[in-house]
Amino acid sequence: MGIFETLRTAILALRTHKLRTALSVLGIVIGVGAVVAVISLVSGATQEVKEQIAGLGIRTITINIFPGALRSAASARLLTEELSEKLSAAPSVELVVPTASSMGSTTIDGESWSVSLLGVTPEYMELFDDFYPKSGRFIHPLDEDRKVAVLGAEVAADFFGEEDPVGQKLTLEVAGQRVAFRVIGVMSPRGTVGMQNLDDYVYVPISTLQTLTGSRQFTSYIAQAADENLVEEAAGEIEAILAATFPEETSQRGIVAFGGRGFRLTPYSVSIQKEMISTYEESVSTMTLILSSVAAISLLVGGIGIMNIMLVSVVERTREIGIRMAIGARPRDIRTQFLAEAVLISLFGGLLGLGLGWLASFLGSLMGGWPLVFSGYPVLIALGFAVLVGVTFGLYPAVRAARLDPVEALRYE
Amino acid sequence: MVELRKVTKDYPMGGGVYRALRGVDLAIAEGEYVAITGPSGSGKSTLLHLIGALHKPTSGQVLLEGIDLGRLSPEELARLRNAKIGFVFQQFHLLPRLTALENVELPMAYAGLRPKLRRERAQAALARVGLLEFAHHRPNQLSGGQCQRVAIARALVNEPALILADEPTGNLDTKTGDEIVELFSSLHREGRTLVVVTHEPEIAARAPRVVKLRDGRIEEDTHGDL
Ligand SMILES: Nc1ncnc2c1ncn2[C@@H]1O[C@H](COP(=O)(O)OP(=O)(O)OP(=O)(O)O)[C@@H](O)[C@H]1O
Ligand SMILES: [Mg+2]
Repeated sequence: MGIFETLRTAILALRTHKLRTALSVLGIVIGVGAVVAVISLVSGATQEVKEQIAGLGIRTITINIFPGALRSAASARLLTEELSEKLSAAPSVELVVPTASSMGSTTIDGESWSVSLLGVTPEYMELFDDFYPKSGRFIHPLDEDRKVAVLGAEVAADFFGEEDPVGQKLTLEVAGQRVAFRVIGVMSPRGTVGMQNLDDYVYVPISTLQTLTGSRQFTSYIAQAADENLVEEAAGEIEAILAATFPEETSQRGIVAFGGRGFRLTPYSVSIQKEMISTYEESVSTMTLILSSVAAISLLVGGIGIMNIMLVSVVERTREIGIRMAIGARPRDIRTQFLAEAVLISLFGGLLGLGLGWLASFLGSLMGGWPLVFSGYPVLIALGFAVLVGVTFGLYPAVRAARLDPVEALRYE
Repeated sequence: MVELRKVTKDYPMGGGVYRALRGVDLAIAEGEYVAITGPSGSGKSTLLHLIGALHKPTSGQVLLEGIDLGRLSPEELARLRNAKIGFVFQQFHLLPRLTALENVELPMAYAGLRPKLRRERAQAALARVGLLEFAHHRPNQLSGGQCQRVAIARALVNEPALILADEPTGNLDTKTGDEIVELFSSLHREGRTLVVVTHEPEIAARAPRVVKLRDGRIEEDTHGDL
């Protein structure tokens, strides 16, 4: 009997027991769904991690100092460029860039817009790959205390549209004063890195911002280790320096990526990309493990369900098997027929599982915040697993059917 | 065509075995119409199953066109049944989900015939038994006599060397049964080889040769036209 004949026969047989067939595939649906979800979770999360590494660099160390949490004014005063110099002197640290941030606003055509100002030093640009002035230039050491600004790509587009802002004036309200900045450059679009959207800032010299806000306190430092393998050492050195600088304060490493809010009470936090990434990877691998176990158990349960339904079917159709054998079906034909049924059932489950898996990964990506990666190969994997389960668990019932004695089978009531 | 030599058949029973056939020698020539009769339990069905390659003998030989069935594998026996044997059963044994036409096509599907050819031949076979207009009815939409005629069409369709029937009229009323017996007679006149098991003497009397079994042995063989 040909393959189409066999499939047609199998479909006909399954159609007579629609509900039973549908119920028996539940395990496969969940199992395959979990497999698909694992694949899309892992590939989505991996892509996210890759973007993080590519964006900020594995060597990056973020240091946040929270002046509000400092106990004494003496400690607060220490938060100056001195600290920045002290930190860059650490042997495993290559670069330390202090930043300060503040909110400002501007009025365009009678409408008020809020603007994020970031006070930076010229080295800030070096922290990121593919981050360069598209037009004009970035902050220069000679710009210290001058009212100049470099615009992120989105800010430039919002305020100046197609026009080249370089050389133009941008009047901002900062700390209650109206300040006219001269635009000296526009950055290339860079998007979000870590937690911040680089295209959304107005960059000004840090000295200028501090003068305007009346504070010389740096809110954070971004440091870079000298080498990828020295990141943890560099972080250790930085912590030692901070601990010596604020002897009376306790220190604690924080993971800024996950909010940082919990660490407000400590005066400083030092976090490394590696930690962020490995925490991320840990949670991904935990979820992978859970989903894989769910997948394995469900596929096993699904397989047993199929085996059960097929064994019932073989018994119910003993007479039919006898008739087919009497008119010339070979044991092999009978085996193929039952195997085809088992595989069809589990393929049906596999397709439903694929849909479920996609739904789950869509919801997962919404909640987990990683990109939804769609590719063709979960389809192959899902259907591959379905066929594998169908064949594995359908084989025993099929072989039993094929081994029936034709006369006994014909006499079966 | 068919030759049985000292054939015995044992069935396992309780701890031991039950000997259903106790040394049967029988030869059937091409074109013969043989009725097998005997009391219930005498081994008629067992004998028919042996001739039809559904069973292997416990000892002795069953030769079909010179082929020793005892030496064949289950796969080879199936091939042989498909090509050389057409069965007709008391309970018709049609597949309930298939139409009359599809039931008749089934042996050709296992023979690997092209669908178009199958359809043509199945229609011809249904026409031969006078049921072409019922081709698309399912067994539960047919009378007993019609079902048996579909089964006969199915038995004929692969042009087998041998048609075997086990109590073909057992589930039919006398009038319908007579029609079936008449159909067998006409098949015999066309030159086909038939072996029909029946315990009804009137039906056995329609066959030129009658073999009587008792307790697993041949009690009487009229040898008819031999
Ligand atoms: N599978 C089996 N297992 C055990 N004993 C069997 C089996 N099949 C048949 N027998 C026994 O073998 C003997 C012959 O059986 P068989 O079916 O050939 O008789 P029969 O002549 O066809 O009878 P009937 O007219 O009632 O159909 C009977 O006694 C029966 O009980
Ligand atoms: Mg019988």
